[in-house]
Amino acid sequence: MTQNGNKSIDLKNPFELFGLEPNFLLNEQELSQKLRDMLQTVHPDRFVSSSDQEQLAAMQKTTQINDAYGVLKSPVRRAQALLQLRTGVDSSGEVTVKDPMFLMQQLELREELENLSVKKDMNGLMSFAEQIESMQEQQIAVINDFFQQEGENQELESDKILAEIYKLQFLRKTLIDIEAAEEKILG
Amino acid sequence: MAYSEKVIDHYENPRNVGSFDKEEEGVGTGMVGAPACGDVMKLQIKVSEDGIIEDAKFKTYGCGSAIASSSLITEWVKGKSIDEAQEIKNTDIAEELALPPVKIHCSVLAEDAIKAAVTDYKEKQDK
Repeated sequence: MTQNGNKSIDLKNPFELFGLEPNFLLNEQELSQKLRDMLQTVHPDRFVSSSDQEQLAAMQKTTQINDAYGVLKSPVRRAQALLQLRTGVDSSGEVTVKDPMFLMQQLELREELENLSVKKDMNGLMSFAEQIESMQEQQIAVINDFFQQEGENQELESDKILAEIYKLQFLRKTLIDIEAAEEKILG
Repeated sequence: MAYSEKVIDHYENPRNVGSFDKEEEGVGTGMVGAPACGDVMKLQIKVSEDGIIEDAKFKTYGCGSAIASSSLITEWVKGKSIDEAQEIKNTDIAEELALPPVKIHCSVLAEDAIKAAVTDYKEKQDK
């Protein structure tokens, strides 16, 4: 995670910086192509004979580009950025979620992960990861629907979107834990 | 990050890990989660007819501080009335465990969990 990882998405609109429409769904290939192009323009090689000031500006721009890319690449952070852009709601703080049904399901998933880790069941972990990944895809689709609805002249219901982004965050965490469990088994 | 000795003690020897049947009478279940770190915490209390918490259990998936916070609070609430249990402040937990500022939210989660468990218990009684 970058140093700005937990900081609220600041002033600079990451979509704007990348010349993209502020949409939740984006083309990942297009995004990484733009990243390469933009990093080219601020590459230190181009500034060898420039003034210190220009070199510094190029460095700062590089950081800005990388930070924005970090936001755009992550579905969670991209959704948070979009929500903040459209409603001003900052969702980067520490909150407590109290949705019992969803949390019970998450607890059961973590228990399953724990069992698979203890048994060092690599195949089980891999199919479990697939299961969580497909839940993640569904969750991304749900979030996208909310953002789409807003385009049809409806008020954006930030509370509802937030709740869906939170769910995505828990799924992300489970996937990270699966990876860690797999790495531990593989040594 | 260095954990305090108390956190390590609760993490290595967590008290009261487990579950009660949430349908059982007198059992209150609190489920809470922290999206930013993905921690999930289940805290259950078993309350006697005169409103005293006789037993408490927890199950937490999260960092050492989250596990220690929930372990500690299950110890604290035993023998307390449900009203007393609701008065436990996260700052008391954070102080007892010497949690660093970045881990304060773990103690908040434990406080929210006990409140949720008491609320669940009361709702069940009202039915």
